[in-house]
Amino acid sequence: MTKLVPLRRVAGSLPEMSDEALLAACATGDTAALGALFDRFNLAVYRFLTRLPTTDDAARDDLVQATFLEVRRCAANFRGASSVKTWILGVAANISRRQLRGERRRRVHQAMFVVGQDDRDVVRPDAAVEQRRLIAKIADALAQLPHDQQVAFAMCDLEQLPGVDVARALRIPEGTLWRRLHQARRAVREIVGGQR
Amino acid sequence: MKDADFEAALAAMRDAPVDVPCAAHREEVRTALLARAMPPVHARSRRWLAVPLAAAAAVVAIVAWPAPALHEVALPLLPPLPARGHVHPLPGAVFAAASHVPDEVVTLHDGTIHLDVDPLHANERFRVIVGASEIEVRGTAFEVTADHDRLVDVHVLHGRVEVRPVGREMIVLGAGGDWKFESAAAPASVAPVVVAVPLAPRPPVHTATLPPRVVIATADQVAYNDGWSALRGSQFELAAANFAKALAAAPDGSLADDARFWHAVALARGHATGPALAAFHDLVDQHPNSIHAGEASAMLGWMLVDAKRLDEARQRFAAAINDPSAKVRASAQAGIDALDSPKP
Repeated sequence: MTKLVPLRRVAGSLPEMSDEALLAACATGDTAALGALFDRFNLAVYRFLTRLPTTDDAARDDLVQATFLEVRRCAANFRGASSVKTWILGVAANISRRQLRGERRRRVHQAMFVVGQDDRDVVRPDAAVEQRRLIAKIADALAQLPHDQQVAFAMCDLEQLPGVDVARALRIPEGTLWRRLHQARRAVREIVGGQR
Repeated sequence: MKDADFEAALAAMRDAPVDVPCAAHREEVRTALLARAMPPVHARSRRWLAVPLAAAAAVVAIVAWPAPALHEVALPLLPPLPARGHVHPLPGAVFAAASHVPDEVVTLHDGTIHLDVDPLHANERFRVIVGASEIEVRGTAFEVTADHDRLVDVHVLHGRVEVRPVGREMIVLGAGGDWKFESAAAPASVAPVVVAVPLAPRPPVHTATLPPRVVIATADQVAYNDGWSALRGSQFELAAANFAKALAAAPDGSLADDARFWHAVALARGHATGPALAAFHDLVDQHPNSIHAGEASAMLGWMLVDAKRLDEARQRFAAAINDPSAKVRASAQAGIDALDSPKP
């Protein structure tokens, strides 16, 4: 008695719908709209979750699924205070924090960026290599921050989303966001500086 | 470190390729997502199929198996396993998993099943439906027996279970509690905890022999139920207020530890961290024997980790390490491991 899952893309209208309209359709339980939202934003969610050092590869697929299930559940609550993309990333941030609370592990996600361990150990007088080592150090430093600061750093400094949008999506005051971002930047600088 | 170096590294980080899965893998995730997102299939809507299917299965079993022993004529219904619990059917039990998390429903048609349900999150439900009767659990182990879609017996091993027999008032059974159909007219439960009134109207069955009793819900029961409704609707402030009201109405009542636990959960889910910490402390300190004590200790441990109160966190994890629930034990162990592991 298993129901068939619509795997095919719905042609025509869905790709032309705005993000907000898709979300509204999703709020009515439209599974095709959820699929379309996934098509539109799954890369952004994967990218964002990959940037969070507390997210590991094994959990990432589950987190992406959980994010979109939560998006469907909470779609009716979307008030347009931020862009749909920022809102979905905010949902992903909350989901990942829940997961972190559940497992509570600050695992360093060494493969966060395409920087191999060998690259970091080999010292060459090459500016590009030096910059890649610096990136790896920042990634490592990010892994040592509290989850809230990681999210602020990833959304504002890496994804470059507007701070006002991010604060609304995370449902925190702008001042709180800026404080977290400031603390994250300062801590990353200190950690990276201390390693040099 | 120079600002320019830092900014340049950040810019490079933004542009660096991020290791996302390939398109084929993401398509698999998409498929799984949509499968999970499908609306639950309710047993009631396909109950008409159960009888012919069961009859056909029985015919097949009788024809195909020569002279089977009676207990071997188990109906070959193989439902998907519930996510939040384990079903251990006794021989001959006919049951099906009708919907999935967050509102899991197991329909029992005949026989006895033993269920071991993990602690549920606030927005999750786990119910067993027998005919028009319903049993709702919140993390527990219990047995249900049915006879031709009629609820016959509920026995609670540990935890707490709400029994809603058709046409009758809800009864909450505690550990060791027992509800039996034939003795339902009299309050024969070993440890019934609460009798509450607010029930959706259901078609009365057996009303000639089992007239419903008139029961007046007390203030704490009403507030507690309101709290649960709000919690299920993700209205955390309202939920916390109602659970607090339930506590204030009967600080030593039979619902006190439940109300304290869900009060703390509602506060935590509403991001009221300080009050949530205090509420969890109240629960584990005032109700050390509560069925929620282990789970609350583990949750408190993680909140204390967040608050950098690591010594206290370790104590709370240690208090939960022998909890009956495997998930709670695993959480507590993970907490201790986390505290023991060197910081990256």
